[in-house]
Amino acid sequence: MIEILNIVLLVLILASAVAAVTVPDLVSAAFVLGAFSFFCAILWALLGAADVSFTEAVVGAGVSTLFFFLALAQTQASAKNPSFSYRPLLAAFLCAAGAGLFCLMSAGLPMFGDPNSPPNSYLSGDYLRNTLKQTLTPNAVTAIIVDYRAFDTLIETAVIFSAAVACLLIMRMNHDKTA
Amino acid sequence: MTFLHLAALAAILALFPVFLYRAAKGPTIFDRLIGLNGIASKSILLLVLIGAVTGHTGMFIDLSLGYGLLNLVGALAIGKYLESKGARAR
Repeated sequence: MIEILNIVLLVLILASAVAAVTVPDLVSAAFVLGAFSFFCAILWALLGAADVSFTEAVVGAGVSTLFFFLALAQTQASAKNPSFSYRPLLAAFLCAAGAGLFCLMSAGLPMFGDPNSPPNSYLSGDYLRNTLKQTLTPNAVTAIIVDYRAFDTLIETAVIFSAAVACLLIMRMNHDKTA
Repeated sequence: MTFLHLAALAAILALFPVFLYRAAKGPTIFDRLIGLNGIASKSILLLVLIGAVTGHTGMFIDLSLGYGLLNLVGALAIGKYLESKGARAR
């Protein structure tokens, strides 16, 4: 059942990605990208990655959609292709080069589930064995983020909060100058 | 997993393409906003249902509460943008 749900969500992700590329104006592309992020977030939640799902929903669906709108408010809301004809060819070449680079590099990665790979051989075992005992949290990733690395996460949050406050102050200053 | 779960899951999953179509195709910007909002609220429902089906109710209810908060803030922010932009109908 969950597999069928995964497949439906993957189809929806693919459909929204294609729609985001093919819709005519950039405002609707931003909306469709928000939908894309929501589908991704549901998929992450289904796979048990609560923190990734939350980040995807906040950053992908919330903040980046808002940033797209703020950028579109400053520019014009329709895509205009400059008139050089080699542009699609260049894009296709760059995509193929990027994909090739990824494939080349992924050959050097350890196999999925390899017990001797560096991420699996140092701390992971300890975390997986002791998380439930020490923190009473069923999700090991959540336990690592908000329990073992609580100060790290707290100070990261403080950094992001102060960055947001600074951005808001700067935008408020510009607003006052123009008004 | 009861028949009720299955029927609710199928209904919610069938609603996603409808909202996606409205968000991608909608003639005015408000159609798109409502399409995105519908997808967001249906994903909240879907998460709660998945929690009920799989038994991990705690995690999924926390996630869906967060999505609900985010949905409200996001819709407000987009509405604020539209207000400042003058919301030309396109």
